[in-house]
Amino acid sequence: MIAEKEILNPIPMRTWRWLGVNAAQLRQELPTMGIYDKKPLIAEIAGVQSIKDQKEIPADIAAYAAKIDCGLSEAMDKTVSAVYNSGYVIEIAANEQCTQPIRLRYVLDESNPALTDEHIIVARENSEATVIISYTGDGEIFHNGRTRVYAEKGAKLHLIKVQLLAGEAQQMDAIGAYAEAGARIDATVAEVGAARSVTSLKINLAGDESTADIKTIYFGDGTRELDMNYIIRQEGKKTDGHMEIQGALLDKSQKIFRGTLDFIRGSKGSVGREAENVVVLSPDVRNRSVPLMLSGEDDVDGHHAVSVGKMDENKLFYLMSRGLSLRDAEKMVIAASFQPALQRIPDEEIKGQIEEYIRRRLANVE
Amino acid sequence: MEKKKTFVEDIERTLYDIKNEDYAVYKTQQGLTEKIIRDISREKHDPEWMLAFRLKALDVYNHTPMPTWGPDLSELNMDEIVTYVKPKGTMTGNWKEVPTEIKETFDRLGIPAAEKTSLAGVGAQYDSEVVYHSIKEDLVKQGVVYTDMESALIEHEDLVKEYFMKLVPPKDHKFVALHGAVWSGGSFVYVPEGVHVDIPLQSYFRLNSPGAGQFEHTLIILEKNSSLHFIEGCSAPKYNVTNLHAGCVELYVKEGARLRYSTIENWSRNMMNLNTKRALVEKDGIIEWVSGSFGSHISMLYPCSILHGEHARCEFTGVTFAARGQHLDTGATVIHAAPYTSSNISTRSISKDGGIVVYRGAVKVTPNAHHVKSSVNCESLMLDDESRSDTLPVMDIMGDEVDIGHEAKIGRISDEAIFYLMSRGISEDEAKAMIVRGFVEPIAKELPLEYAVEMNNLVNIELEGTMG
Repeated sequence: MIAEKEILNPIPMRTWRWLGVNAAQLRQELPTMGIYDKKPLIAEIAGVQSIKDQKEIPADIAAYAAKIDCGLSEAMDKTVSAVYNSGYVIEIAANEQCTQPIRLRYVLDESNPALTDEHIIVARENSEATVIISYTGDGEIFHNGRTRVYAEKGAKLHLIKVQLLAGEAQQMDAIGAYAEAGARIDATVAEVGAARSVTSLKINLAGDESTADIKTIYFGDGTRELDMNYIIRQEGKKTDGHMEIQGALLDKSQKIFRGTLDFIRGSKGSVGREAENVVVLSPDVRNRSVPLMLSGEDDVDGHHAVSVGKMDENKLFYLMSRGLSLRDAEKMVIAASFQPALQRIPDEEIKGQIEEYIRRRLANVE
Repeated sequence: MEKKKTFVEDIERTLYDIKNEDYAVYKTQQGLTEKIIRDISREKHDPEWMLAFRLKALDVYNHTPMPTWGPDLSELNMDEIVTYVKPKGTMTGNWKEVPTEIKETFDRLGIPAAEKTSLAGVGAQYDSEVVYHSIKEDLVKQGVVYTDMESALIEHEDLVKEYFMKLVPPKDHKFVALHGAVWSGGSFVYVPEGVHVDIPLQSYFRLNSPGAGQFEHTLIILEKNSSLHFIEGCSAPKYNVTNLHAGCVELYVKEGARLRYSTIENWSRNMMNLNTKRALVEKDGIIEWVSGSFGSHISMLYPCSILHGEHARCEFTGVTFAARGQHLDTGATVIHAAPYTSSNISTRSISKDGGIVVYRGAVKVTPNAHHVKSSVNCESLMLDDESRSDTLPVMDIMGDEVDIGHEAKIGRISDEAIFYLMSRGISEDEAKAMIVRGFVEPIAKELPLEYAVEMNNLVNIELEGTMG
């Protein structure tokens, strides 16, 4: 079983220890996984199969899954496979265009306090689909999970993950994705809950002209700790990798975001963009941002930018000229900055929950 | 069709590669033992407290692990490094008294010529000891001290004792502990309150002895409202054995003082350059770093500025050029430890022919520091796909009321830019040269004039082929 001080989310290239960003650590033993007896799948859809036993996974899908670099650590990976209590294989048939999103809803409570979920999503050639997975719940709950995405040639897959667990929750989550030639993987993530959340998101643009577009919003309040490790590996020629992270930190919250654009030698003509904007609304927060750009290829165009604390003064000025106080104007600008990510969520209910949470929390800010 | 690559010449090194016979009058044995430390200390006539300091640092060294990050240092074998090499002759203030072959070396490097035209004082270190030091008479009258560390240890013992390795204590990391144990040579500068040293002081460090280490210590104290421009140059001929440079620079910038510290490092390609530089800046003080890293086999160099007083400021401008066989891991760190402090870091990196260049940096804002501004800008130009260029900055911000920005770009010479310039009647070769020159221009313009030659070598580019 996994050791208590297991190293999670190691940075691709280590740096000074005094900054504390080289890795996160598991702080407590994992709880025993009972049975998760609710039905997360909202509507039965062809191609979506519950994984009761890893052996039942079709060989070609298992082979795809094995190719995907995913996980907070190797040991954690093995743990998830060994103890998961809910999981699905989602297979989108070739050329199929799913108009409705495939929706998995996990709600944790006293009777189902611990969840480890394991999903494999395969988008066959030229298919198109959106998968939404959400986690909500109250009390001392625990979530750990892994979602692997494989996009065949020309497929388009949009994965949306929303984490809205209550303030005492512990959460860990890993997403890994692999794109063949011409495939497009979009990821939209909302991290707005839990006491501590350790997450990773790795996309391998292996095929030529494959694309990844990540939009993540995070919100820290209370004593929340967020630890994120995002990597876009650009292997194919003319790949396009985008990462846009928008965050706000309140109260005594802490956050570490590591974002890596990794241009592998041979990824000629590739473009990579990474941006993180953090708004800080309390003197007691700790924000750590680590944007990495690694390159073994000269014929690339890479750019990353981080801004901490700054808010667009022109926007604030405009709003204040309309009679808003500085604080209210700031709140409005923050709420608006989350919109580009929120607008990518085609589910009014969960989107509403996120907006409501943020609105309520911002209302308390003096 | 395969795109043709712009070919950029290596920096011309012939001048630096002329080696002299190794005529040292005293050398320690290879390696590092308590006996060696005691020998160095005796040879240098250290006061008792300095011997104790060295032995304590040796103990720290023995108990500190190697860094777990950065370039691979496994080829460094301390058992093969000679830590102290005393050259012929004694320290002098008269150029004529410097031993002939040492004099010729510095003549070739243009040091005395620069002294005559554009410097207020010069120090020259050859292997482990300073062989020449001079300073203009009027500065001495104003109370400015510019001397070698050994003389300072005798003539200004109280000051040295108060400041020596207080800002960079031996426990910081393994190579600074090593420095504390075996340090020798370096410069000591003291500028009294309100004195402005209008023309620069320069120290030049030359390591001639193969398989040796150079561990010079530079200690600069600027009292209130004073100012200084200090230039540091380093070079060594190439040998087939590993040489080690683990110097230490401590800069104290008091209230309202302003220090510009310029370095052109052009060590040979067998050098491990593991240098530590740190500045403590008080209220309204300014530290300006200008740093050019062109030489060495492996470099780990990240000048650190601690902005300790309100409105203290740091400006860092750096250029790093890594060619074949070079792994240059450089950058800057800034600690904003007081309100209203600001920093501005701007770097340019070029890698070619399999060279590896890394920008590694950190900006930290402590909890009590509000209204802090920091802006970091790193640009990397890669000239082929055999090379590597990595950027690894960290921002650690505790508190609100901050304005922190970081931006980095990576890429190659763009075809569009060349096409545009060519459409204006400029030849392709000249267009490419213009772009590379333009790329390093923000740094070049900050460099002291004496180093224009080295910068010119950098942009001495030779081009081949046509548009891809």
